[in-house]
Amino acid sequence: MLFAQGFLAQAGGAEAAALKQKSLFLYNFIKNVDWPEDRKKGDFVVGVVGDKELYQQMNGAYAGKEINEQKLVFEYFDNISSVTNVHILYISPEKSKDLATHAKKLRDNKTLIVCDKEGLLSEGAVINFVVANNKLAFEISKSNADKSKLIIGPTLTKIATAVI
Amino acid sequence: MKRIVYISLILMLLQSSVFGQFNKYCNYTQVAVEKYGEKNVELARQYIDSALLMCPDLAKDAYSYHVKGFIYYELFKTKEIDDLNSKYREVALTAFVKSNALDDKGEFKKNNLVSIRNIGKYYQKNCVDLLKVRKVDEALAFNVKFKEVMSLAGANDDLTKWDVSLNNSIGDIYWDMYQENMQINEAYFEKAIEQFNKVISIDSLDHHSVYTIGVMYYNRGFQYILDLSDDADLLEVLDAQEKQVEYGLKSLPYLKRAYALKPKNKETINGLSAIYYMLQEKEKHQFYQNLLNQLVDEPDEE
Repeated sequence: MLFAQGFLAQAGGAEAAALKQKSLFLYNFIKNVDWPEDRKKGDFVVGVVGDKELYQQMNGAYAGKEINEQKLVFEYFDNISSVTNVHILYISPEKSKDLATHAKKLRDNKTLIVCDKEGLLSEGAVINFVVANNKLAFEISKSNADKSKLIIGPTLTKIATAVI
Repeated sequence: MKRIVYISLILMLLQSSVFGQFNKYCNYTQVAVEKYGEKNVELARQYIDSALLMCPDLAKDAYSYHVKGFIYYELFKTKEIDDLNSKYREVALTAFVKSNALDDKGEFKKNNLVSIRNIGKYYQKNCVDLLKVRKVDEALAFNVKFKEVMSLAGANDDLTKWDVSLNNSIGDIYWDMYQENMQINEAYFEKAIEQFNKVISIDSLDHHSVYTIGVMYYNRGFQYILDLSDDADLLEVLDAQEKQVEYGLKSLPYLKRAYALKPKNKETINGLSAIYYMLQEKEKHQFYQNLLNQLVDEPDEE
C-alpha cells in the first residue's frame, strides 16, 4: 500500500439490517391484520419476548405512532409466562419452547403470535419467520389466526411462503 | 557525496577535449564546474547556460550536458523539490538524456543513468503525494512521467508491486469517496470496483483487492435495508431484500477467495461471518464466528 488503509467488514451492518428488516416485517404485520372490535380501543401493545435488541429497535422507531387511531406501545418480556395483554407478540427462537403451554391464553387474548423457529405454526404461532432463498420470509397459519379471531390481510397471505 | 561528484566532474573535464580554445565561452563549462564545487550553484548554472548558448562547439559535447544536468538537478533539490512543475528538474532530465545521446564513448552514461533514475523516483514520490490528497488524475499523470523516466534510465525494475499498490490506493480513495456521500458519489462505487479488478488482473493473488471488493458488495447489500424508511411497506422491504441478496451473492465469492489467500486474516474471517449472516446462513455464520474466536489471541495475518 502506498499509504496505510484498512477496511473492516462491518459485521454490525448485517446485524443492524437484519434487525431493521424484522422490525419492518412486524410493523407491516400490524398494518395488515385486522383485530376484533374489542381490541381496537386504547393503546396497541406490541410485546417482544427474549430479543431486547428487536424491542429497542421497534420502540425507537415506532413508539407513539398511531395505527387506526391506536397508539403503539412496546413491552419487553423475559419469557412467555410473564406476557400480559398484548396485541402482537414476537417470541425469539430461544424463548419459544414453552409456546404450546401458553398458546391458549394468548389466543384467548386475541394475540397475534409471531415466532422465529421452524415448526412453530403447529405449536400455536399465527405467523412464523422462515428463510427462503437467502431471504427472510414468513409462513402463516390461517387456522391459528381464526382461533384468535384475527383476519390476515391479502397482502400477507400473498407474500407468505406458505399458508396452512 | 557532493564533493565526490565535484571531483568526478573535474577529472572528466581534464580528460575531456580541448573545447574552449576558440572563444571564452567555451571555457565556461570548466568555470561552471568550479562554481558548482564552491557550492555557488546558481552561478554555476549561469556559466553552463552561457557555455552551451555561446559556444557552438559544445553543442555536441556530452560532458557539458552532463555538467548541466548535475547543476540543474542540484538546483531542483535545493530550490524546487516541492514544486510539482519544477523547471529545474525538467531541464536536468533533458540535459542528462542529451548527454547520453552524445556520449559515444560511454564516459558519462553510468552517472547520467543513475541521475535520471533518481529524477524518476521524484516523479514517483509526487504521484504518491498527490494520491494522499486524492488528486487521482494528477497522480496518474505523474505515474506516466515516472515510468517514462524510468524507461529513459534503462531501469529494468519490476513495477508490478508498484502498479498493485497504486491501483489499490486509487480504489481505496474511490471507495472512501463513495462512502462519504453515497448519493452524490454513486459513480465512485463502480470506479472503485473497476480499480480493484485492475489490480486482480495484474496480480490475481492480491488479497487487499479481492477482499475489498467482497466488503464493498457486502456493505452495499445491507445498506439497501438500512436506507429503508421506518414506514416502508412490505413490497419495498422485499425489493430491498432482493437487492441485499443480489449484492451478498456478489460478495461471497470474493470473500471466499480472500479467505483462501489468507486463511488466518481476521478481517477476512469476520467478513465471511458477516456475509453468511446477511444471507441468512446461520450455521456458516457461526462456523466463521467460532473460527474468529479461536484466533482471538493470535496475531493477525497481514
